[in-house]
Amino acid sequence: MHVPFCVSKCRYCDFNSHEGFGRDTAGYVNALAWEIERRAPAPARTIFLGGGTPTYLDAESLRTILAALARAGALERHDLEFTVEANPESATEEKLQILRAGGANRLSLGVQSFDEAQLRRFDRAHSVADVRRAVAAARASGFVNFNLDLIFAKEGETLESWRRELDEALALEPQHLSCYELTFEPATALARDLERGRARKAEESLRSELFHFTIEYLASSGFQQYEVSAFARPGRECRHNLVYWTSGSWIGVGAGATTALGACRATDFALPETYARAIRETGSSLDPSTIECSTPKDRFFEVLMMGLRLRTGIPAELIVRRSGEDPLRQPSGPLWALIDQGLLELRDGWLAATPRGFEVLDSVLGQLL
Amino acid sequence: MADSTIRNFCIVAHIDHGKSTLADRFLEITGTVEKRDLREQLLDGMDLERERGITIKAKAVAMRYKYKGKEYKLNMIDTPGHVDFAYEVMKSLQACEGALLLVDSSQGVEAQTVANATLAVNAGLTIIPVQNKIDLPHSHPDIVDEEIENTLALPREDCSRVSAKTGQNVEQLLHAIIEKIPPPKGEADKPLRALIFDSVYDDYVGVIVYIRVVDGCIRKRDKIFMIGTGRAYEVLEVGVFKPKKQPVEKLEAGEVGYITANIKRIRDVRVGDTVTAEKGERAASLPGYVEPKPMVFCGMYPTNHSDYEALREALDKLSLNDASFTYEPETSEALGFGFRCGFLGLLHMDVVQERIERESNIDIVTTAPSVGYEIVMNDGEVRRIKSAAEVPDPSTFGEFREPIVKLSMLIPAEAVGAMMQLCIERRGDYVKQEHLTPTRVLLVFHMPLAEILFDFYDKLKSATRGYGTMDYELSGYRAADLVKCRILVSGQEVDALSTILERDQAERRGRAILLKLRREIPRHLFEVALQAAVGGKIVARETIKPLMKNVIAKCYGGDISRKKKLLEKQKEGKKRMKSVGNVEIPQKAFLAVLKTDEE
Repeated sequence: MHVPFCVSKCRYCDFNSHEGFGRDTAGYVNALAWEIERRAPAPARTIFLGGGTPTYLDAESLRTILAALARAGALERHDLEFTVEANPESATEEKLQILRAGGANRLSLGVQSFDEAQLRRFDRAHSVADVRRAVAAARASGFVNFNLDLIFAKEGETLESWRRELDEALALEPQHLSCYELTFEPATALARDLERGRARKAEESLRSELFHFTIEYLASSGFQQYEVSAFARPGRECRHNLVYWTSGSWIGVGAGATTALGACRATDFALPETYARAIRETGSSLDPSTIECSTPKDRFFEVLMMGLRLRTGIPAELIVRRSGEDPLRQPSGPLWALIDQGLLELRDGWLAATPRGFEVLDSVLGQLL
Repeated sequence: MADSTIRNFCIVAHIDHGKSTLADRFLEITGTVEKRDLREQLLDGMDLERERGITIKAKAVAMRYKYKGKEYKLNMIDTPGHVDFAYEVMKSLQACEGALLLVDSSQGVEAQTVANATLAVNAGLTIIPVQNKIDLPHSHPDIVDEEIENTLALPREDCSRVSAKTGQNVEQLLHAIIEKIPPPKGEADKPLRALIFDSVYDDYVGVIVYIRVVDGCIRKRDKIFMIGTGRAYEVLEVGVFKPKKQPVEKLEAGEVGYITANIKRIRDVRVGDTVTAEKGERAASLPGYVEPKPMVFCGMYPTNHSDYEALREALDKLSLNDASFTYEPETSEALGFGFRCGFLGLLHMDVVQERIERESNIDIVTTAPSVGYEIVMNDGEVRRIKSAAEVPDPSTFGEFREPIVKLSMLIPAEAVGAMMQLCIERRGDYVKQEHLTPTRVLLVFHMPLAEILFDFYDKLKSATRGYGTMDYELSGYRAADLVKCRILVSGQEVDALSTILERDQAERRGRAILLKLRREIPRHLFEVALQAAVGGKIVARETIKPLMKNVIAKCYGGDISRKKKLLEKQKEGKKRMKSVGNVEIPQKAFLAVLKTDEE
């Protein structure tokens, strides 16, 4: 479920998010609730309310969304994982209590950095103090399972400064950490800064060092890397995201949300106003131009592109089940060449990237295309 | 006597000084072409010429013009502007009695203008200096007059000022042509003697031969003989261009036109050759016939081996219409099967490469150009060497000779110091320096042609902030201490990157090549070693570090299509690279030896 509003746009952000001020958020929430009621699975195994900033919405809007989920019968399973994304400036105790009471049991907080100067450089709308307040509010509201999002390889960052930030994060005792390398996505303010020489990208050697340091440091603190950027205490991996990485099926609702059913995908209209109007006038908001069904060969690549992001890789049997292709039966394919080069390995029926293959996964995938 | 109403003239000019526009204006004023049919720059036949604004094939157009009650036959011969085609320029000049020397009144005299004007003076032509583009607000005709007077010793009173674009003073220029340029001198009743100054291949009639009749007369069904090639033909058609082909009964002494004679291959016709009658009294050959020799060579390889035949066909088709372009099969361990191509100069090479890519739609890898060398073997035999791969074992030959050119540069006075230094670094020998005006200098050096291939033009442009121009002509071959420098990638020799260098410079240039390669070859998953070797000795080495981290940080359910496209795009970029062993080398890297980027 996507909430495409934020209080302001961060410089690195290329998500489908819009400054909410002056927009018809209530109209959007009504459309979203309408779509939830009709399309949500009953019951759902995992739910993810993301954005944007879901906590940008007022208490009333949050109640509307939660009520729609309840009416759809999506909240019935006792083992439901229901994650809500929040940003520190708007994660108030009032809203978090409403969310917790409405069925949410996992919180993902957009912290990004414990360095005030870095937060300002990114145009983040919160301070480090806001982060601590939000974490306290989460605990007070009954969230025991929460994730912190962090960005590394920021301008001016050193191994030492990053370690200090990780320490700050660990001190808040999360169950899960997402550590993303800073990326300069096209058409973002940050990419323009880079082009004009107003921002600098960290050297590759440092980025690589930070990546490996993070993996080892968090492991020693009880957080296992299970995906390129995801770290969790045992049993606290995000089950919702594992659906994406194992190429499962899911239903996406809200502006720009993607739905995947088997080998086919489609996305809702991205602009919140277009989305809301399409729901109001036609009862559906799928953008017809985004509907695509992958051929078995394409699907095979997608399954690997997602699955090899997992540290354990994926079972070969699952690749066959998802794509219908069984590449391991052909004795001489690119897959075997990559195994020979020590970039991939096949162990106990699981296909995974080796540590070397993992850090250069995009180049590895390039050889599979 | 030849017809006294004939005026044969050409227009010589620097690229972009407006030659074709002036020619168009002449066609329009003389009524040769109706204004509504006048496509801009009609004389430039090929798209490529139109786009690049240069004229490759000299052409001749017959115009009629009434002046003071008398009708004149004005034959305008369009000459190539670049000195790569100096031989063709020379032959076109020899077909004329006069030349319009066209100078852009906002740009002034350029190195090419001087080169072409010198050729025209040497050919004994009457020269009418013309300043074009006087309609431009930033033109400064008085200063340009001074330049013309100082460089070319042409009195400023003789200089016409026109705007070919607006037509201003163009009619008066036609009058000047009639009054100042003498009519041709030949004898109509002498035996036939005609100069071949150009030829083109036509799918329907075979080779169309452009001729200037010097003496005698040529008619349809005449039996003719070409002295240089020793071939005899029967004339099928005689005609003139207006500017489309138009048959006429005969061409007489002093006239310019074309003949066709069912000639199948352009190579059977040589520019500069003399046409005579096959039977009867055979006239003596006209002076100055030389076979054009390629000066610059490069390898062309299809990116996909399966395109080899298609590339061969494309080269063959091109050579049909360009006798000075040569090609022969060549194999490279690194690049597979391809061709060694020969050109008159760098511009000629650019033009040919572009035409191949445009007309054949084949992805090709082009190696860095090299000059033709001469090697004197121990037994005295002189071998021409077209690539580093052909260099024999050093113990088998005595002398290694390289082509030397006379390089003329027209540069702003403040750049003289920098250019002097550059020329000396590039093994140049100072010849002379002349001030055209207090601010413009003509600088002349003798220099190895190979040094000019090494980004010399770029350096000149940056040292002169874009104002400098240059031109060169071959002055001979000179012995030098040259060695073959081999380049190894991951321990494997990439013959297409090998180059011939002066021994003292081998280490420095070798290193410069490696640094360039290090930048051009993308990083791989493994370390790539780059080495430069002379004989058995490694003179320089560099390494390309392996890729350390390359993995998308975020990839969730909504990102699949986009991330897949991104990876596909990267893959597409790789397709255009050539793999040597397991290293992917982009086309640009093969030109690395051209850029020095000295530290």
